[in-house]
Amino acid sequence: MKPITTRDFSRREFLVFSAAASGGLVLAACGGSALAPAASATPVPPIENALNIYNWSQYLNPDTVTQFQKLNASMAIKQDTYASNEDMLAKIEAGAKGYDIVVPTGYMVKIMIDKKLLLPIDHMLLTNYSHIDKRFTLSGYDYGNKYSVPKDWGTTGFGFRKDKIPQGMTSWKDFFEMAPKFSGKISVLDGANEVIGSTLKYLGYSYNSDNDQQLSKVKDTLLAFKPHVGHIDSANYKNLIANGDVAYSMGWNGDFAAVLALTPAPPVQYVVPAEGSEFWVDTWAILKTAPDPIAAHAFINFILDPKIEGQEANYSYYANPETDAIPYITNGITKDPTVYPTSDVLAKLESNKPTPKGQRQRDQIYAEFKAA
Amino acid sequence: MTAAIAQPLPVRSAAVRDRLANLFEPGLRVWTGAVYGFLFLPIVFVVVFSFNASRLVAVWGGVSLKWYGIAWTNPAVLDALRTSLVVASINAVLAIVFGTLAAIGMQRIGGRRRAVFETLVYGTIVTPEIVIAIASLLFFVTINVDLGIPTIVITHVVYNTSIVALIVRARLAGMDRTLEEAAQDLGATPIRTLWRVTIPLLYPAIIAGGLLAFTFSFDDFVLTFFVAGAGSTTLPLLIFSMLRFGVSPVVNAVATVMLVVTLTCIFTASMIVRRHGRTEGESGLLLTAARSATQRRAA
Amino acid sequence: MLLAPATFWYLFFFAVPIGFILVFSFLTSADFGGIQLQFSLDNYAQLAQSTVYLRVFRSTIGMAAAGTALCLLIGYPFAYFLATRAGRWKNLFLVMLIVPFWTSFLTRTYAWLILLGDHGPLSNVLQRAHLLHGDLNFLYSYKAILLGVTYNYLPLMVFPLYVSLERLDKRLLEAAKDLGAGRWATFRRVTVPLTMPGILIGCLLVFIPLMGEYVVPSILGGARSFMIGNLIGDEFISAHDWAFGSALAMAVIVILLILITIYFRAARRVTSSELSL
Repeated sequence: MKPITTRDFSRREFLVFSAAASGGLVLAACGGSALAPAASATPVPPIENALNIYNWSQYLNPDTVTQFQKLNASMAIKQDTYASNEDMLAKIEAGAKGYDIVVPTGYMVKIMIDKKLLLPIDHMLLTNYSHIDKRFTLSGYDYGNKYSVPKDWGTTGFGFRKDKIPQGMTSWKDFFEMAPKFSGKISVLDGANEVIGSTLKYLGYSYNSDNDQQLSKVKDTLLAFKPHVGHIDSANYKNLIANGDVAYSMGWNGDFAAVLALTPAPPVQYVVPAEGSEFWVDTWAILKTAPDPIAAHAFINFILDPKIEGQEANYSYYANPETDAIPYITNGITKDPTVYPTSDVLAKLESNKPTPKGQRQRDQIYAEFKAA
Repeated sequence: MTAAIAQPLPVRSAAVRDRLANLFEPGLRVWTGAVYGFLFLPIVFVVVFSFNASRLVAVWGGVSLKWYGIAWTNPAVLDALRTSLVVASINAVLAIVFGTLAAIGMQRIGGRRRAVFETLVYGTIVTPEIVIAIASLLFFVTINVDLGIPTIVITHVVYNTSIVALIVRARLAGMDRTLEEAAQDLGATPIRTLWRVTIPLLYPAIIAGGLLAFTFSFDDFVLTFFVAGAGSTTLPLLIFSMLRFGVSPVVNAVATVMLVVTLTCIFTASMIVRRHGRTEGESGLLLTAARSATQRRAA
Repeated sequence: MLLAPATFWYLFFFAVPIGFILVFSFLTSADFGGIQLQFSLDNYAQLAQSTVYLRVFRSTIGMAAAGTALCLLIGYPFAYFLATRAGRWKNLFLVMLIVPFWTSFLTRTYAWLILLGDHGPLSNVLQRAHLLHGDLNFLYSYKAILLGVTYNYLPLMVFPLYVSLERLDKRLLEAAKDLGAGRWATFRRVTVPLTMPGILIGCLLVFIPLMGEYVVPSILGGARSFMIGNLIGDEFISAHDWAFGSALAMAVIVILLILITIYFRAARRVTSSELSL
């Protein structure tokens, strides 16, 4: 065996390697804020040139982002996405503190307020706030919108393929009882509240019930239903139903409106079930630990402009809380009862408002449902 | 045993036996070929379809680089790439330092203490990633550390140190100690020996280990998913969130790029190993590397 | 002292966090996430009494066993070829074995999602060959997960087998043949026992991480198949039940420790020299 001397090792290789390593370190230094020591207790966070948004996916028009960036030169806008309120809360609570803006649904706003995670909104900075319809300022989850600004509102229901189910479906009864016929071709949302709430309505109870007996019946129904469920998904169900991979799917109204806007339009129909369902409002909220709350306010204010709100609606197919924005909505959703339901439909809907006890019960039932 | 096999076999089943025996060799080859086919099918598919001009898998629209173009101009992709590179680099440096020292140290202590340390080393590799991920998450939350690039690096270094340690130790085991002894006879202090003799002798293993550590960090998903924070999305995390919306050719392009980066690292590592001679037999070192590689890959 | 930095890192960022799981498993979860410092055995009680979670454990162990067995069956002939027939090309073959595994793990799994889709390439090919009528219906099921894990864990099985087979003294096989043993008898009574250490290590290296597998079931399994890894992740992220999630994780750790102990006992019985590969 040839003896190896130190000269064998090429100096060049060592240099290359240390260059790479130090290159990595230099990049890291440029990464700047991400490596800054955690938990600085200064009351006024340093102004950065970046806005970090934690949002649902495909819920913010990229054009809006570009336009905002043009008005605020060199502001970097970064987005991370989540598929459920619970995922977002878990990350925030676990210490993902770099986000400025999050998009919680109403009931989650209340939870986050109680947990002291949100920064009070400075309405002086929101000059466009006056465009918001009055009824959205008197919300049960955040009266007066002290911590949140309404973004979009909509309904939870389900959509079905007209080619697979020509006789149509109109109720949760159909949804649950037709399952054996379409076993494996059914999708539900990935959310404890949506799944349990829907089952509660099917059984004739309130969406927000925390009654032990009622929830026990819900659990039995769900465990019997589970073998027929093919997908538990809140992000991909649009594609699944558009492709015909599922016969019917629980989901949110705007997503189905977006599916119907495809060309060619798949034979899908959205249903707000006869027994009733959920009415929700998604909101913009600023985290108490936001690195750049000024920029966050500016961004939200920018979106509240009716023209921008209209642009958002054209992208996401969801209804927004500004009547002033209606002239700017060009994709026809204002005439579409899927997105803008009539008042008799609205009357059947409840907002999601679980009690702590109810939430715990839901989480448990849902975990068992998923594991079944 | 001899008595049992000494009995003559009936003629017909001997013929059958022969035919089966004749099938054995080609059968083995076919089997091996089929396994390789199975292994490479998805890779080839991803790479080939990243050049598909058509968005749909069912339709081949001709060769096109447009998805690479889209990926390259997408700020989220570039951001994720940068984060991945930063994390992987820092992790590799730390893993090299800790792992090399650990390997040398393991060589020197004996018996019980070595066994305990070895358990720790193997433990970090073998424990399912989800368990480490959850444990780390709880840990960071409890001591109130923000999630972000530092937390990702910390968790990656845990198992990558073990990878480097194992690789370096394999080389160390087969290494000629006479040079070290010679240095000490000539009056070098232990530290000097370490720095000027032992470590340079280990450079191939160290580099190989470092490149492997880089690769694992670059490709890691489960751990990163749980301990990433705001704005610290790595490439695998980005791919996962893109995947949630179903298939997209842009993902194919990004994945092919990741493949190229990873393969470059691995081949560089093996080139370095090859160039600097074989102490244990090339297959030995490569094998240890490969074994630890796949342990990590799959977990 | 050389070991100091690594030891510190292991202890602080590995042992301590695992210790946290141990502690948390005996506490209570706070509402909507977080933990309360309230000692309780409820989490374990809940686990022991639930039929659903125990079923998940059982099916995870079953999946891990099936995956390990499949890897062994597929991998053994493959390793045999590599060790005995590959000759000068050995290293090339080995490298070719590793290459697929250096693509992104996620992408490889999701490639199967496309390949095996109901209207995907495989479906088209089979339909055109008239071997299949209607949708493929392979995805989002137990068998899809099994395929995915076998695919991802195969090399882990092959490497120890390869090393074992390579070290096998071929003269022993010749001796058996000279004594008149047929191929099968030789295999059964010489090859297998001598490569048992490799087999055991391979099985261990596959089974343990497979128990905690997270990605493959979540991409290929759909709603139907849920493994312990998913359950643990879910308890932390979706259900915010950190205490219960910790209890689940502890249960997994305990099961794995038991298995490792069994392995060491079995390995000691088989041989003492082949243990450290």
